[in-house]
Amino acid sequence: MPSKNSINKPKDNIIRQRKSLRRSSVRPVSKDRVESSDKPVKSTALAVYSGATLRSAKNLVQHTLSNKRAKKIERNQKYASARKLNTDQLLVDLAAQQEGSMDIDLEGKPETTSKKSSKIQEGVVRNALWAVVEDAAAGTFNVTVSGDGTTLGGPSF
Amino acid sequence: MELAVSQRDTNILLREKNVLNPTVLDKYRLAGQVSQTCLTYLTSLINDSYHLGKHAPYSAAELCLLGDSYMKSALKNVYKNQVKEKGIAQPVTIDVNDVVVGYAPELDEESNITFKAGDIVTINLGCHVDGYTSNLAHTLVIYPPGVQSEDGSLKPTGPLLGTPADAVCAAHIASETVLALLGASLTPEKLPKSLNAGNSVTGSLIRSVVDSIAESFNCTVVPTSKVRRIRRFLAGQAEGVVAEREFKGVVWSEADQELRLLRQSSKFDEKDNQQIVTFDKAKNASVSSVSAIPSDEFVVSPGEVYMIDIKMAPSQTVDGPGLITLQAVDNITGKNHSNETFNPKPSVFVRDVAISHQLKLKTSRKLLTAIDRDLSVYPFKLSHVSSSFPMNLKKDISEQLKDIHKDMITARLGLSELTNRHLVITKPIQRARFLPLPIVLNTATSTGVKGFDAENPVLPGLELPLPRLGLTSLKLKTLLKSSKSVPVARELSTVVLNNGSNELIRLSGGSKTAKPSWVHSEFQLAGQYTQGISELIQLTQDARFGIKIKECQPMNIEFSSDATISGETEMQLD
Repeated sequence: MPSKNSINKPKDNIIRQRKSLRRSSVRPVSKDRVESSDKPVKSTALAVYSGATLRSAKNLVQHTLSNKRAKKIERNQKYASARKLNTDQLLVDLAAQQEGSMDIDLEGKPETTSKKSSKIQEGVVRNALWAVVEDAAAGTFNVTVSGDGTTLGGPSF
Repeated sequence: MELAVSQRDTNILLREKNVLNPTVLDKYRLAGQVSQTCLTYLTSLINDSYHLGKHAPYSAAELCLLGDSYMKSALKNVYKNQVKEKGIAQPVTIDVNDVVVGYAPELDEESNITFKAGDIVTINLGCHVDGYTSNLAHTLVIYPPGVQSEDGSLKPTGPLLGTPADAVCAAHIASETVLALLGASLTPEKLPKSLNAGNSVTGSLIRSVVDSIAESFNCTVVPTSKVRRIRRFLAGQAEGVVAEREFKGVVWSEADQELRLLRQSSKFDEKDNQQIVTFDKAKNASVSSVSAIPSDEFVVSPGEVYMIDIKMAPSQTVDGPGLITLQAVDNITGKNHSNETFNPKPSVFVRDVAISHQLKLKTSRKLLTAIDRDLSVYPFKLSHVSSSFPMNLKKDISEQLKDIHKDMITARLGLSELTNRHLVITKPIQRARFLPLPIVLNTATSTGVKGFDAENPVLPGLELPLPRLGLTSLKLKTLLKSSKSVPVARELSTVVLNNGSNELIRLSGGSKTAKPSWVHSEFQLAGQYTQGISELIQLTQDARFGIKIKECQPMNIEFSSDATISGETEMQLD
């Protein structure tokens, strides 16, 4: 707090008063007015390119997701999925006990299977492409030239 | 960052303004005419100086500046006070041999080149009137100086042979065939039965026809080749910078070459691996809107305007199978003291209108104001901002050149802040490289699939060059040191599918301005579409019952052969 004689002390002049008055008088535009007016809606970084237009999306919000909160949500989702897996495991165990047999398959986490399948897929692609290289080295893919060929244009600049 | 535009404005800008009516067609035709005339002008300059010996050889920088000056002054007096924006839509670029796009040296450029006999030179340019754009590209062959023929005129000694000739043939035939296909979409009943196309021209038909032509000439379609629909102010000038909704077109990328190699393999069964063949582009896209991601599942419909941009590179037979990919070159990366290396400074820029920033330097603020006031959303060069541009060839040329140079020194200073703040994006100069397949296969793909190359933006959905192998663009960039350069031929023309008169209007290219140079390839058309392609070409030549094609003719201007930067004679501009 600046002292009474400080240079920095804000002066109670007219301009300041007017400014503060204007600031207080500005109200946020009501939701209905935004939807009915034809003015462009202020865009935010969220839901960009989601394919939905601003008008059609019902659950579109006008505030951005902070990095910190995004991380937090992601972390919580991970815990939630882990909890869900535990309950699934328990249910399976319970079922196994009741039926007295052990050959009940547990559905694995979908994420790991997709990762595994992409690895398998990459292996298939790699092997297939190596076959192309080997065939070329063996001379299977030699280009054959037949016919008179093609001539375009003519003898002029 | 998405630009928010109201529904009503979207309707006007994207729908109503793109309906082909006489006014719109006139604007398209005028843009086509100016671009055609500019190509004729540049071709005559090259012929006069390199083939006919009437003038000392022009350098690439001189040709670029003369072409730009011509386009700017030709559009100066048309639609005066009637349209807000008109001008250059693509500064003249002169791409030699393996350079694919973007080489438009300024006059002070160190790497400024003149051509050698046997070079293939691609001229790429474009202009627009009120956003209605006509782009073109054409590949010329530089011959040794002409020899005297019997009738006294100078003639080339012989056709160009070898792999560059294959590429020129493939690019020419492919672009003419696609043009005929687009024309046939106006009267689908005339589509040859042998194409098995049914009753419509689809993206996948265009792709398979072009691929078969490339294969019969032992060529590969170079990534970034495309046949796409263009609209007012949306002529693909900021691809990768701005994601375009409702993108309609066929785009070739490294992923297609990967699939072609897979299909060649004896160990690959397509039926078992449907998942690998139909790769979901949206999975790795940096934007999630499906419509911004190019897909072949579209039907060409009348009333649209298309750009046919075909680039062909010869496949190497000596080095075995491999991929054709692109390498961005600039004046910093990989520079050494050898005179052999090609380190040009990128000189074409495009404004990213979605970004705003309070600039610090006075010069950069001044430059940004000039760009936003005088130039449009289209690419530009720094010399276009100068007050001495376009050059008045009736006045002292050397003085004007000095002025342009002086303006550029201050503008360069401002430009660095603009590019650093991403207000202006540098258009890369790209070279075609052949990468042997074993080198790709020996590379581990451990970096994950998110290693996008932010410096070289691509269309959404094509961020991952080799999606089936999981090889990222950053990884591919590191492999380029063991790649070889390959020549590229390019043909680009813009066509309007006029649904009013059921005819195709060819805005740029064609037999008068972009006739193919004398080349001979040892290959000829082969494959399942041979019959269909020859029938299509016959249809385009049949004026009565075939596909109706009208070409935009260049203006009748006598270009003085001495219209030069160092000469004192005048060039007639308009």
